[in-house]
Amino acid sequence: MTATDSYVRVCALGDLVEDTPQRVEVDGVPVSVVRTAGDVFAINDICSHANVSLSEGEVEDCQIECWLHGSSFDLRTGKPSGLPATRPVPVYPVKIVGDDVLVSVTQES
Amino acid sequence: MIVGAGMAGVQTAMALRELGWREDITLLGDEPHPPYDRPPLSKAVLLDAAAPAGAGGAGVDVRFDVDFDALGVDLRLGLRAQALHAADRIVVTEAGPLPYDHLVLATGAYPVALPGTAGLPGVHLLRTLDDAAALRPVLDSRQQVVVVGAGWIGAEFATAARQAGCEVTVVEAADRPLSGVLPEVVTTPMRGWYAEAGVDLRTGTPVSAVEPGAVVLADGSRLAAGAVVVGVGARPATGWLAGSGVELGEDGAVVADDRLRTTAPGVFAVGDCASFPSARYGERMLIHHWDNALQGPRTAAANLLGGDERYDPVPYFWSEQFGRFVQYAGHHTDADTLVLRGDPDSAAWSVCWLRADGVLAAVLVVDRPRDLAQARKLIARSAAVDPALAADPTVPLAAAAARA
Repeated sequence: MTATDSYVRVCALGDLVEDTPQRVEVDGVPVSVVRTAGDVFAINDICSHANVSLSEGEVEDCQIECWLHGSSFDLRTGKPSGLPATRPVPVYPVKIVGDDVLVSVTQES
Repeated sequence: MIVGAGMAGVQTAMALRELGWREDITLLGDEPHPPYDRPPLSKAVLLDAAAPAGAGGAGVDVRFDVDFDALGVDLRLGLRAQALHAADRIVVTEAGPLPYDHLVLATGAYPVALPGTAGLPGVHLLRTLDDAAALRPVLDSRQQVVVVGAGWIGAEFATAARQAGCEVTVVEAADRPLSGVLPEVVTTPMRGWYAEAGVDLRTGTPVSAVEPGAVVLADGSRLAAGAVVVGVGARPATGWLAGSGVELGEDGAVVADDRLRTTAPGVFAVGDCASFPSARYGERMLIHHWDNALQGPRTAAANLLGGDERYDPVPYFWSEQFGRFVQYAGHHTDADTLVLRGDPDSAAWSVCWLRADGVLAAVLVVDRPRDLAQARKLIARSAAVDPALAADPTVPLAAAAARA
């Protein structure tokens, strides 16, 4: 990794179970990494409605759902798609290099 | 006009705006505080080092993240609705009569007091921000606490009080916690939770009197109490609607139909104050939970604006107690078959209730949030589940369902 490359390896692609989010920390930021529908997404792990970890939630149709209050967010955009959340959650760019999953939290995608 | 500025009232205002309502919205609240979220009152608010932000302190901010000015909502706080004249479309308040075109009742519920304890110093209820603020000194000074009622609120308050270092006794008139809502197979392990937290749980012991500094039980025993916290249920806050033209049920709830319309023209009702007929469960339901105050307003607002949506939710609530997350979705009766999913003496387990036709009616989970999330969807589509697969905690609940 060079100084201009802010991507950080978070896990191996093979470690990710389809539709089962994995919580990682990238530069101190809690991130939920999700493999679903043939793609890998990275979304901030904390729900925008309350301090709840999204990685404990279910994934369906590219949405991740807060397990406590039921808010859901689009993994591609971070936009809320279900109540009670009304604000988006940051999403981050993901790069797959070989079997490595890389995430950058210095830029929101 | 919306009467009641709790979760249901605020969500109604938000839903009306989202659905395109451009006219005035007046939101009446009887408490002086800006609208706030109640679940943290029995948890984080009690334990935060500083005073709650909603009460003017710097601590846990329970206020709703809503800009009422930007929403164009005329928020009238500290103003109590005293009467409704539905025939004239007028709400009578302390500040005089207020006319309306459409009305949404969202006055919530009030906690039931112990008879004979009204105004007694040291006796607390826990429903409002002011109630929580009044309990903070009790926890801060680690007073000896007696909690009356081993229900959801009793367990949550006991959890916080123990965390603060209080000596806590919970007294329950019935022979076990939550006897009215859950079967013994579920409540038996809960006894262990109280014990493990160092709470003295006494069941089958009704309170016969509360005296200054003590609670006297029916068996004659006397418990010293620096504070008494009463959590013995809540009733719809509908007294002000007597004679209004809006029908009330025997339980005190506003009788709404499945569109959340009341018996008075132009008047809807949402949240804790209203019951509605559920086709899903074949009975009239009165739900005193946060999620109902979130979902109902969507339907009421849509119908107020001319829609025709039926309200038939899968009820859902959670409780954070003794270091565990307990979640419940659906609605079960004694006629349903209970399926254990994991060992109730272990850290994480669930139970499912199946109807005679195999359809999943309800689920209770302890620290198994994925079971809850999957069950909510299965219940919503009336999915049948295989009892043997449902009993296996290593099989995802969704996989125990018959393929639609």
